[in-house]
Amino acid sequence: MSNIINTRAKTAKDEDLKYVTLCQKGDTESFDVLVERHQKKMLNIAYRMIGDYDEACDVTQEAFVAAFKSIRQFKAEAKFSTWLYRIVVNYSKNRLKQLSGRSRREGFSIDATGGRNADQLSDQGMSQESNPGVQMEKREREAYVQKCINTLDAEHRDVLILRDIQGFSYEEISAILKVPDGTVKSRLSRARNALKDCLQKVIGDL
Amino acid sequence: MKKCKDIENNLSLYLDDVLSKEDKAAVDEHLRSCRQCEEALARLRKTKELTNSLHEVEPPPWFRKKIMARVREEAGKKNFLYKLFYPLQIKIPVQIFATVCIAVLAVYLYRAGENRFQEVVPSSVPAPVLQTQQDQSPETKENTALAERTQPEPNTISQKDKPRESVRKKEVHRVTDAHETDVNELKASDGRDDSNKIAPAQVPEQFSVESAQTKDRHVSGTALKASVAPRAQDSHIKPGIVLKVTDLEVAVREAEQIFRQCEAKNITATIMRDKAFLTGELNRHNIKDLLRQLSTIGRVEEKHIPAADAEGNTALVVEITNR
Repeated sequence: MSNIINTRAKTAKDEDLKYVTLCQKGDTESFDVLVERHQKKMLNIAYRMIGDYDEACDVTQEAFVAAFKSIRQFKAEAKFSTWLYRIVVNYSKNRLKQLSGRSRREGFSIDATGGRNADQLSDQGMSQESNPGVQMEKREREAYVQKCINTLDAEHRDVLILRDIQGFSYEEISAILKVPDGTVKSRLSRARNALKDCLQKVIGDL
Repeated sequence: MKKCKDIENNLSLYLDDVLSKEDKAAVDEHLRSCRQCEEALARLRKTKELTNSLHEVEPPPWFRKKIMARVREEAGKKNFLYKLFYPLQIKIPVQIFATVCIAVLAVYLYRAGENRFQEVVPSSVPAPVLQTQQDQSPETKENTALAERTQPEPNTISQKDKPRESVRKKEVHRVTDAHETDVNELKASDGRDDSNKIAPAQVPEQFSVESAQTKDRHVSGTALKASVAPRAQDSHIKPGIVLKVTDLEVAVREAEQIFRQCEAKNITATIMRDKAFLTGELNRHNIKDLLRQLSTIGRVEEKHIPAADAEGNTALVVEITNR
């Protein structure tokens, strides 16, 4: 009974549901609203997961198209955004596997694929910072953090990104990744400790 | 007091303030007395701050349009498939749709083929010809076709069957014409070593034997006609009368004379090693007389005798065998 109430509460809050229903009835243009609302978050999840801007754009597009193709299967048991973010996380993990396989075969790292990473994209997020020295320092620190994130396992990486970068709650992460709450907590703890150790090695004293 | 390792595992949750009151109190107590764990917490907090401070990337300006272009493309494909498979708004699985299509096609093809078959071979064709066509090997089929052409048409075919019979005859003639040249070659090759022209396997064995036999055993004069016609059918024709005699050759001559005395027409005789066939058309009224006279030259067994009280001629086959 409480589950039903929770589901109803979730769906009542889900502002996307109206457009999702229209899409399910065949109104393709309603999907434009959903893309507009979620594109940035989707792209950022993919970007932090993969560490490459162009690859992240590609994966996000694929995830949106996949979501549209299977939108009739969405049952509104969870929020639409949760369902959508699950798709982009899974697509990002698949792309990571492909890229790591390719880099093993061809002998180069993901960072050296020619795509744009945090260093090259820093102007987008730091334009409000006037001091070039501070900008440079922040840019470097971000690059180190992203490099350390890239060293994490995929299952630790997604939890860390969803919690510490995107700010989702444990409950939301559990719903997105379809893993129990306790698993999220333990994975997050290990991910943070691993990232802390990596940053200590790269930056020095934190 | 808990060990540092246990505390370290809880530091992440402590940072997010999601620990239970008891666990939180235990960590607080430990941190007050353990400088190492306190430093670990500080580093963890700094790590969290660093990840939190990562800037967000902006999607490129064309991003939404590009996604929607692909979405519209997919919608077009989906609509096409939808129109193709669900024209009546009824969700029939594709597999069932395909199965029904195949079943309908199979029934249609079966019926079309059946009609064509009936056009060529009518179901009420007289038994001997149909039986020989179905049962014989390709080699003997050729002989049967030839024999059918040369054999006199039986009068037992009713007026109703005549159109179908004419169709059947056309088919038979077609086959016969195709093999006419083979027969001529056979005739021409009689007495000559011309085995290269026709392979032995293709030449019916009885043809060559017969061509030699008909020189001295021939009774009625139409050698090829007499020899070929019943020969091809000898294993299938049901003779009307079986006559068992002591001397086959003499009996055949006498039987032919009896046929003539009974005013039989189109008399043909075929003699083989152990038996002979004598066929002819005679008036039904003369059948009794024929039987009586045949009983003088051997033992007569009546198999399929046409009714004597009916009017008109009938074809009669007499099988003469050695006792």
